[in-house]
Amino acid sequence: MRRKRIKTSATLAFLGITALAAEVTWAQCPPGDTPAVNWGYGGSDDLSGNNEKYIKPGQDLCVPKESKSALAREKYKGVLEVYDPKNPAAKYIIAESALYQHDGSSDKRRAALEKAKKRAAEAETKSFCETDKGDSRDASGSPSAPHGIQVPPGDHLASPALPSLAESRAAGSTHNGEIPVQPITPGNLGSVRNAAALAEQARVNEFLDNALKRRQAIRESAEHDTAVLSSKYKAMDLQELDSHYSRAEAGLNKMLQDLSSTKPGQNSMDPGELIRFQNIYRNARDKAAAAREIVKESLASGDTSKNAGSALTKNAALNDLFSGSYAATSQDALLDRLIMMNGLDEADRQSALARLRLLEKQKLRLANGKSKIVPILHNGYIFGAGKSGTDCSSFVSSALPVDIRKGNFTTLDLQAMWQLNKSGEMPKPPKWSKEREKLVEKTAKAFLPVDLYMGEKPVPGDMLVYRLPWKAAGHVFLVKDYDPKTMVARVLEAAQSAGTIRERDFPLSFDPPSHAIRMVRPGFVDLRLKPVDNSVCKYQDRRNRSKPGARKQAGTHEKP
Amino acid sequence: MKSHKVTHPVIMILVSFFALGTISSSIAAVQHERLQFRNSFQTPEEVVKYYCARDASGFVWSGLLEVERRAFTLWQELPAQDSFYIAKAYEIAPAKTRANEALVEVRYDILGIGDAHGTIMPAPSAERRVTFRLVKNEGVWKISQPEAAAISPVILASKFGHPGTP
Repeated sequence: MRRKRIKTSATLAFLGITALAAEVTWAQCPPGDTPAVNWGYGGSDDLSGNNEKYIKPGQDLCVPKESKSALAREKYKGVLEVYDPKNPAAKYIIAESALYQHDGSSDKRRAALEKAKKRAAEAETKSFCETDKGDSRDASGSPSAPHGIQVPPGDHLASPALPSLAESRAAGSTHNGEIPVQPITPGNLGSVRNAAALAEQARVNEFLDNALKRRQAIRESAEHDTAVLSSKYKAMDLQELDSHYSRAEAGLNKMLQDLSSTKPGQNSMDPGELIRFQNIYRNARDKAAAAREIVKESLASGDTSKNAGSALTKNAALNDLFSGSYAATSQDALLDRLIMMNGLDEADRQSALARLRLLEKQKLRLANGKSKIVPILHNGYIFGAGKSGTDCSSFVSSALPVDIRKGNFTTLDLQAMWQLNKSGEMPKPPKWSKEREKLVEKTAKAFLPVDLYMGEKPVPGDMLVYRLPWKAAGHVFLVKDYDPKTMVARVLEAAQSAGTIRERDFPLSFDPPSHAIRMVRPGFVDLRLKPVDNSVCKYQDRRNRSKPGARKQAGTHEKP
Repeated sequence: MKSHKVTHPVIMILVSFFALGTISSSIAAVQHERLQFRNSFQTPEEVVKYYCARDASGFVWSGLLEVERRAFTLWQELPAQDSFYIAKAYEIAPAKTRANEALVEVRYDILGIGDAHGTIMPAPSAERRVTFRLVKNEGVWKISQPEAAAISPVILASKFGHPGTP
């Protein structure tokens, strides 16, 4: 009887497993793509807006074959791009470790999910136990928050000089068991730590404040330059505008020829900036030509504004072309300033040049071997990346807007700096030019690499760099604050097209806060600028305070 | 057989040399798509052709202008990326039109991912397909998707003219 019961139970269990196994199905993916199921976290990689999407645990996904290229596997371990088979347009990024991929066995999928649940339960218990120790957070200087990340506490406060409470207690009574030393009680250690933290906070606040002020100063300078140049144009009639735009077109064309005939690497301009400015000048020339076209059409149609002046505001087409709705630091505004400057006659031009703030005189080596100094208007850029003497807050603020990164350090460069500092080796790929590699290596020395995936935490002033290896897209944030409990960073970023900086909350994990294990979303590196004068920048603001006038001097040629 | 192996690379080098010469001369004579501020295109393909030609010379990467955004797209913001895909060639497929909507697929032969400093990252795939969705707005075809934040610039190696581009 007993044997029969056992046999029946075994049969039921077998049937149950079979039934369960039958329920387990994999997503239908196109040939070549791998079906997978998510057990942990993931989300859209659109960081520019608020339409980030979460992938629920257990959701069926497909891994495209391109996402599993040798390149992605070699250097950026564990990050994959996946998509929802029901809606292939919905793409997500996800850590490979949180993804179970179909290898032909449906049982494995269930086993993997069970394993994942078990891991989560264990981690929850472990996390609870660690939290229950009470003073472990203060002692280690690394918060073991209930919803914190899964790795050991690191030196996230960047204060290696400060001992942990446990170390202090151990050292407090005796040294080598013989020499008595002054005991450090938890009370006075706390005071020391508080003082250090306050000093650090003050430094960071000043740093962030200066970074924001730099951007504001640039915007004000751009507005000033626009006002200087546009004053001459406000009262012009169509005939005058025609001659000015004609002169502008010719001048810009000449300037473009100079820029195009130079060789990258032989000028004071960074090659990246040179190539970008060639396009800016092409656009400015074409925009001047477009303006002339409008003027000619208006004149041919007998536009009455030709005798009334202020044609720029009265003529609808011109008004549309030179719409002032964009920010003074936008690309369009820069083009308008270039057209206005090149359209002025020589006397007015020289007068304006003397008053412009966002102006650099660049030495170009032309194709005929001769050198020429040309005035270049800009939107607050550092010409020649890695120029020594740059202020550190300017350096950081210059990394935020995309336009500035194009000609200086791109997200690819910044990510390489992190990898170089972390591993000691320049990441390859990418393929670097010799000069670029040297520059990136030199600049990397200015940073400490913070490894978010190993449990280190961002601190205010850090640069959060986002970049996926298989995409030509990147993003840079400046950390203003970070809450390790919620894993939400308060970040500063460049507001697109507006030339300003905006603040927003940025969750570093896709996992719901209730999860025992919360993984950092993939694609991020954290760069911490060394808090001392370094190979690429100096903390000039403190010096400027002691040298009255130094700030004023810097303001005449604003740099980011 | 041995001599064939030796000769082959030599021939390859010579071919590359002449090819480089051809590319250099074509760069000198390269024609960039000029800025337009009026959308007088009749078909969705023409709009995509203009966008891709401007993109190929790096004008999307260096900064699409407001006049272009308004004339040719329904985007609320401008695309902004510090890097770009580098393509050898691209092909625009005929539009699939339905009422006031059209889909135009562009297929790119990708050489890598790079920036203006000549740094080049190998691309995970040699082919990239982008489907543009256009909407007829007040009688004019305009690009509505991909959205500005989701689109990446694609430059043409022969047009961009940077020594780092392959």
